[in-house]
This record gives sequence, structure tokens and C-alpha cells, in this order.
Amino acid sequence: MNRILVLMAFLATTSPAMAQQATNTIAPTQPGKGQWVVRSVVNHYEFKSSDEDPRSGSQTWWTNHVSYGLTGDMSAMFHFSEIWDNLGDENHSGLSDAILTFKWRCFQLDTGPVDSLRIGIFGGLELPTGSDAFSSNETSPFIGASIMSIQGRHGIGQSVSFLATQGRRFDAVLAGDTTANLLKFDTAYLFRLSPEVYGDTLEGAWYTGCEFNGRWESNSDLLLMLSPTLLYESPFWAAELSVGIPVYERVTDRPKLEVVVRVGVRFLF
Amino acid sequence: MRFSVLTISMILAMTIAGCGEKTTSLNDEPIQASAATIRADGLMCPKCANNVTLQLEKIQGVEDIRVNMNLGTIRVKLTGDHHPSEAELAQAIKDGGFTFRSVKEGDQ
Repeated sequence: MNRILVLMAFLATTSPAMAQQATNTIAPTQPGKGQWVVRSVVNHYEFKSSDEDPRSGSQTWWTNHVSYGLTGDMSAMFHFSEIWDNLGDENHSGLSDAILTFKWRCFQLDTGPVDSLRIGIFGGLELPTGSDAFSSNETSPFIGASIMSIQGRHGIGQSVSFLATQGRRFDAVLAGDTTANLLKFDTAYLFRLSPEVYGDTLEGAWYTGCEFNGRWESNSDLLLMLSPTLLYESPFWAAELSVGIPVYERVTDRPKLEVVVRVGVRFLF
Repeated sequence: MRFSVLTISMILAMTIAGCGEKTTSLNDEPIQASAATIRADGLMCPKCANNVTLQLEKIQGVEDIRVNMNLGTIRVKLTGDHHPSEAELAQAIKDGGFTFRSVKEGDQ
């Protein structure tokens, strides 16, 4: 079993990569110079009790991302999340750490009208917001890389990032909430359902696909998840729906994740 | 070990090569025709491709922008006294995040 898990993790971090932008897999894409993308995503997590934490219930994150194109291949992004916690007997809400990210697309090979291979690197800081239950109250740096390739109707993408966690959230239930460092590895495949061939004006497109999401922590916690995805993208906005189903989970001191449902919209200005 | 070093070196070389500015000489003279067709690659998705429209809209004299993702063409009408140059149109494509290939005068 462990060999299979190691192999899955290895494939997730080394497989060839291509994708349109999936929900969790960071893509080396960005708004054009001087343009903005605003993205709003609701993540609803359902938890069940584990051997070491008897609590069950849910947590809902409303995350807003604002991206700005500094140049044609460099962007800055700011995320902030409001959290509603319904775990155990108590209900409370508050702001999570805010996240500042800089992304640089350092390689681009466009081989056809819609075909492209792109590589990007990114890094940033998770910043404390002072919200007692939900902020780590420390500044934590992270760094990562992403790669994607679009070939006709097919897209595959991959991102890997490492968070050097400095603080711990009081109510730690997700990977990265404790003081253990976090390695995220995400792989996405998206297929363009329609149109089969683009017409002579800009039109919307439907995509479906699946992500493989991995979260490994330095305290040896591990979560592997499959996330079927549906995405609609018009020239000015996009809507996304994704369901994350854990296929393997090893956690300490917190409840187990049962499922996560993600619904989001993106706007280009 | 040797294979790993070679692989990492190749990735670094590709990255550095990709980060370099391409020195293609483009015409700085205003385009005389009342329309132009730009060829660009890597338009990927509708929202990505719309970056091109938003970049071209910033240029004085550019109107009625029509992006054909299947062919990788962007047709624009050029109006007013100030027509953009090939270099200005190419820069707009680059600022949108795509690869400029060519521009032809006229609605082709």
C-alpha cells in the first residue's frame, strides 16, 4: 500500500503537464498587463471524527483572489478568506491568514493558435490577520512552480509548492494549519467539451476534467484526493464546480476530511 | 546522478532561453490601411484570448476587434488620424501574454 502511495505521489509531482486553469492546480496563467482578475470561491468541507479528534461537522471558506498583471508575464495576487466553522459544539467565524503571491511565467512556447506550453514560478507570504481562531498569527513564506500544456481540446497541468509554516491556527483542521511544513502537489486534466472547434468570434467554452490533489506535511500527515471538475468559461467570466473526494488520509490531532465541494466564479477586467 | 544533473541543467537552460527577449525587428511606421489582421499563437481559452481584446482596446485608432481562436487571427479596424504601427500591435499581443507572429494590412 505504501509503495502505491509513494508511486502516486511521485507521478503527481513528475508527470508531464498540460491544463486550462483548474480549481486547485495553480497554472502559469495570469491577467494581461494592467488587467485584473477577481476570483471568488466557496469551499465547503465536511469532516468526520478520527481516532485522535472526536469532532465532526463542517467548515466553509469564502476565498477572494485579486490578481493584477504587472507585465505580460508577471503578476501579483492577493487572497483573503472568511471562515465559518461548525465543528463540534461551537460555531464561530473569522478571517484566515491573507496570502500575497507573485507569479512569473518564465517559459512560454506557443505552438499553435490555442496550443501552448508554459512554465511559471511563484512565491509569497501568508500574512496574519489577527483573527484569533483562524489566523496563524505568524508570517509564513511559500515557493512553488507550475507547468501546463494545452494541445487542442486537451489540457494537463501540474503545480508543486512548499509552505514553511511558522505558526499554527488555534482550530487546526486542514493541511497547513499546524506548525508542520506543507508540500502541495496538484495535477489536473481538463477536456474541452464544447465547442469542438472555435468559431470566428470569441465564444464561451465548457470543460470537464479531474484533479489529483496531494497534501503532505512534515509531521507525516498525508491527504490524497481526487476532484472531478466542471468549468464554464466565457470571454469575461468563468464559473467552476469541483468535488474533492479523499482517496487516502492519514491525520494526527484533527478530524478526517470526508468531502469538499468548491463553487467559484472568475471575472476579467 | 549524472542523469539528474543533466536533466536539471536542461530545465535551467530552457527556462533561461524562454526568459530572454526576442529581438525581432518590427515596423514602427503607422499602418496605412483601414484594417489589419494579426496572427498570434497560444490563445488557449476564451478568457485568456480576451486579454488580447482588452490590450488592443487601449491603442488609439483600433476598433472592432474580432478574435478567431481557431485560426489565431485578430482582425481590427483602424480609424482616425493616428493608426498604430506593427510594433504597437505586437507589443499589445505580448502584454496580453501571447506570441505575436505577423500582421497583414487589410481584412484577410
